[in-house]
Amino acid sequence: MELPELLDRCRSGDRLAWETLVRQFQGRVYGLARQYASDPEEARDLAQEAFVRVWRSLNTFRGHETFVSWLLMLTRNLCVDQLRRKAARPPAQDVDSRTATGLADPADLPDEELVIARRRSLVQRAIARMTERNREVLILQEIHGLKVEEVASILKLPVGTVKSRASRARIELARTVLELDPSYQA
Amino acid sequence: MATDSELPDDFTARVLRRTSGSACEAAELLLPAFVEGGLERTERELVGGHVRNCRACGALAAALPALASDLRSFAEVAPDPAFVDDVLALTCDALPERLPRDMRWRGRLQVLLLRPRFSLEAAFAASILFGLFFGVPEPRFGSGTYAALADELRAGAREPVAAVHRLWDRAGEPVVESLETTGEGLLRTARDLARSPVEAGSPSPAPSPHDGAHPTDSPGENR
Repeated sequence: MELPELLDRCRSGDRLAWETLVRQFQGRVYGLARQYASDPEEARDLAQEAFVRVWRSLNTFRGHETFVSWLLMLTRNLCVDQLRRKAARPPAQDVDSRTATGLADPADLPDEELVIARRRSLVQRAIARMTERNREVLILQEIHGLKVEEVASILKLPVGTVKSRASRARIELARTVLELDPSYQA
Repeated sequence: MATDSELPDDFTARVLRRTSGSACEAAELLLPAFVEGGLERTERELVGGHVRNCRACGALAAALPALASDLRSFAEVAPDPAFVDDVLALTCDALPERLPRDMRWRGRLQVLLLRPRFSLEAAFAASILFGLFFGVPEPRFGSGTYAALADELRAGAREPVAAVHRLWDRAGEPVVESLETTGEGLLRTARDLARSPVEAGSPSPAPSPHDGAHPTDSPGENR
């Protein structure tokens, strides 16, 4: 089913359509919340709250092309509000790799998955060390694939600023990853 | 004639340090576009030349494509299987099922109509509408009207005291007569009401068995 039809059904109170929508986007919403929240349980709560807000605001949303960016903006604002309430920043120190990536104990994984898990852990630690302004641009643009204009709209920044920050963010991340593991490469 | 191989490896770096400064900063800004192939030919050649000769920038250029791939894997993280059920419990089960739009409007209208103040508000609105469409009615005092009184006031604006006296002569007497008549009527009604139970022979309330008793006789009342 196409997204516009799914949204129309959700607006008319179709519970099955709403369940489908939640299942379709839960990974994106939870994935974004994980980048901001310090622990998985907090991210889960934030993702849940984001969906509750989506449910309540479905009638105010118009235009299916930007649904993902609207959804991510709502989630991001929720996360930022939560962080402000806690007067904390996104994880700015090393976090346990299993906690950060949501992976099982590496000892239990096959070799190939172990390599992937280590890479994810390494990148996650590098993201956590980035400056906050660069990290947000990186999360929205590089991880979630939003367009520069959408990121600019969400962060309320000029498009040129977002472009230059995105470039700096990638360099900062690459440098941090290489500091943590000089052998990192494709 | 000396060749490049005879020069020390860091020769260019030493020269740059003593002249323009390191070129790494300028190259780093262009590296993401360089990796994605988004640079024009001249810039691509310049950055490519730097990357080939600078170990740090070369490592960055090698890491960037790998990072782009790894970052995309963070976009979706599956929460635990109970997540959807919890969300549905917080939305569909907790909130009333959404009704069609026409039924929602009908419901809102019913709630509006059933408010206790609705009749008062409706009467107020109707009065305003009536006044707007048909004009405010002018009550008459004897032979004069409010319009006539207003004319008198305007005419006597320079001599207010004399104007008030003239107005009282014209409109005051009928008002006093009207008030006297109303007051007498009210007094008559009050007297009739005061007399009516006795004249109708309504029995006085039966004496209570406790009427003669001292208040303190009841043990519970004296506490």
